[in-house]
Amino acid sequence: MYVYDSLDKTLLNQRVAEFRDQVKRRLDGDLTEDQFKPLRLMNGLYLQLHAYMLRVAIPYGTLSSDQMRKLAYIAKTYDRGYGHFTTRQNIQFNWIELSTAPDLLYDLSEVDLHAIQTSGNCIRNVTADPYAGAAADELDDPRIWSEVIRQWSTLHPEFSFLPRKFKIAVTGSKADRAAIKFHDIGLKIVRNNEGVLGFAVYVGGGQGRTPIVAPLIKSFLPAQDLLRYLDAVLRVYNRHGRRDNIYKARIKILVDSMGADSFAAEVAAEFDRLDPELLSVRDEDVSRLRDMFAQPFLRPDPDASSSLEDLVKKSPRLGLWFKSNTHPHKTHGYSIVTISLKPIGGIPGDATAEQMFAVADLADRFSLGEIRVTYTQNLILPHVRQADLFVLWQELERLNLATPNVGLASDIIACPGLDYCSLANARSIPISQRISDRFADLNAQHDVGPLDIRISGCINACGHHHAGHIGILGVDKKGEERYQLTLGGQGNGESEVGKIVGPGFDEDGIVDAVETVVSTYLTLRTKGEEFSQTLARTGQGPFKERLYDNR
Amino acid sequence: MPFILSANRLRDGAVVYFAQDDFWSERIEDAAAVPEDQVLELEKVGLDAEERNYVVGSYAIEVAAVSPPYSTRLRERIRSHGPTVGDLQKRAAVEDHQSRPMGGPEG
Amino acid sequence: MTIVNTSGDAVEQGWRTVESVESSGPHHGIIVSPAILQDSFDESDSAALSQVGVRLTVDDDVSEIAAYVPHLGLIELVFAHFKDGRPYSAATTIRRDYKFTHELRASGDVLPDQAIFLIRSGFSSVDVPDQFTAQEFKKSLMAYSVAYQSAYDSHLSLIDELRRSTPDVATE
Repeated sequence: MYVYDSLDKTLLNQRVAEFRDQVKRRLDGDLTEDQFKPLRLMNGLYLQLHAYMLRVAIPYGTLSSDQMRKLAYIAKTYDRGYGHFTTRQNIQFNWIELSTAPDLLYDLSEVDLHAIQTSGNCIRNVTADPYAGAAADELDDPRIWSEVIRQWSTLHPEFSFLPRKFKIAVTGSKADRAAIKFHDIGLKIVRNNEGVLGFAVYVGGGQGRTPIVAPLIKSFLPAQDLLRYLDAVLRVYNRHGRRDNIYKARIKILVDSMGADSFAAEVAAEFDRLDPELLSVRDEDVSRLRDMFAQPFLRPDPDASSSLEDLVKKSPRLGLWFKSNTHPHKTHGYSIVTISLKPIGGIPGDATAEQMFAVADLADRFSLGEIRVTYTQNLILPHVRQADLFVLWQELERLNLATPNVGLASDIIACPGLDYCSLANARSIPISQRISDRFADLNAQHDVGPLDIRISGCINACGHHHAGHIGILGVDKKGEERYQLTLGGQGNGESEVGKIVGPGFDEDGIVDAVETVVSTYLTLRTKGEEFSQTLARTGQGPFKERLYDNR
Repeated sequence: MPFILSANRLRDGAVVYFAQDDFWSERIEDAAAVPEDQVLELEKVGLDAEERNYVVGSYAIEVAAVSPPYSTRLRERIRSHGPTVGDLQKRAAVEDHQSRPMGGPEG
Repeated sequence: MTIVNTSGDAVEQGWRTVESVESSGPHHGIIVSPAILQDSFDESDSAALSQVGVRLTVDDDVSEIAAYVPHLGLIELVFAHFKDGRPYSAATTIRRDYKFTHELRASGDVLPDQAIFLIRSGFSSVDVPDQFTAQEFKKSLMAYSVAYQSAYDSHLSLIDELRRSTPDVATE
């Protein structure tokens, strides 16, 4: 993992001191709310319905066990004993006071954590493939390049007051587990024909009011030119991005209105004007980072396969868990384990302080002290010996963290919605809880197979509903919560924007509608066909009929 | 319909309701209700409190009943009762309010 | 009206903004709009232009006065709103593409908390808004002693010379 050096620590300490001063000036009345708001937002502090909410950055979704312990401590000390892992691989605390927020940030800084640029119209915390460093299909570790971007973008003097927020995601694998094409910039690590490492660059993706799958702007960017190219993209955006309408201010609107080709040409011109030396990513810097992210040697376990067969025979529930919650590791005899934060009927992404403390201990025992956070609001232990799976599973079961549902119907993505968020129009979490309860039978979920249900409580789409196989959008219709249903989105591997099926539903209706969609799929599917494949084959027609014809 | 005044307290972000004089309460039951023709004055109380850096984002809420104050907007009920997730009792309380027949203004 | 320099110290003003220019010179230390600049001055008259500044709003395009830029004594970029960050990129362009080396001033709606961003983007002075003091800008400038990026005021690179020349920091 990346280890902070004295420069990182100095900057972080100075940031905490600066924010402490800003909070004092606000409380003393030297700063107005209008002046203070963008400053607190750049430190991740929002004012929500019930209290301040602090969003802590988890750089590219990677946490050490000590960092997780500190998050648990924060939840216990400054909040009401829990935290909420978000669709941006971050964690949010819901019940924070302004007056003690500087102390909280100081405590976080002791383990090299912070809330810098988790909000505001700046370059946000970089996200990456949560399997980084452990996946078999990986070309290069995306954390190396994410860290380069983190440093370059932190307190960037020119790009801290952009037209709108700016999100960058990186993947180093063939399978896109970071939804890169739904980001302002998506970077896919590739090699060209000469074997040189570089990036395919996608610009102008996003969700929200105008969901767009990012077009490819540059098919091969040599890795050393990464920052020079990002600098050019950001300057073109800062110069030309719209500032007159908040809903048209994201870079996706600029790219769309200019056309991807003209946009790429303008970026190329800006790129050519930049001094290559000044922004070049140097080999020695990359090797230094590469060393930091290199994992200790894991000894391959040749007997693993046979012991696994014994393992899944021990209990049917364990068998289900192994099937849905583990993934092959690049080293033989190891697994990537997903810790489900989606208990049946639970709040997606919530973890109690006790669970966080326990996960930290499990990471130390079974996964080299490493934890990952996924944008699907689960946690990951990336390097688990298969011989340890049974013990780990027992521990997770005891903590209510072993629901065997990863990638299935009850692994629902949901934004905080109207229960917490001041922007929301409708509740998300209670809907997800009811859907989860409806599909409580885990054997049945496994029979249904991969199903991605996502819920947003407003058009900002923090719940990524556009990209769910089944997407639900909460709206306010004359004071009543209504829920629109979309089908056919893809956010895992493929990127596809779902389409609205028809008129919306009330709270009871939407839960029934999801069940109807699933049962329709079960009658339509051919052998081995997954939900998204059936939908692609039949179109929305048969689903529409079942949803609306009997009304 | 009558109105009450709400805001978030600057120092901790807590939801507060204007009760009387300089007193803002965390309980919606304490909120002072005024008839519609006094809303401007009520809003001025909020702006003054913002000016003094005691609260932020003050605004008047129309209520359908005054003892206790009851808003027809779910958002306001969630602000006063807390999130409807997880805590089943609390969820029941809010939903009960939701299905409650709307009362006219009282007092 | 207080002008602070890159150290956050108040300095002599020396320039005044004018809305029109008498046809006969000489003109000393005047700041004009781009239109007046083009109407009243010859782009090749470097001696006269060294006593002239131009004031650009966020909607003005510096490329329209490109030929004047190297000779001007001052360029002032006016922030329409402190959240509108276009002048930061304009500053970078003026310094880097136009090789402008004289005074680059920020004015309009800026916050003390942005001082470090301003200076690192290439501004060399700030017109302090009435509601703030020079001291507040100075304090803000001193908030950070390190930065990750190269910037106009330093040529430290990403993982910079400080880090490179101090072997012990990598192992801390």
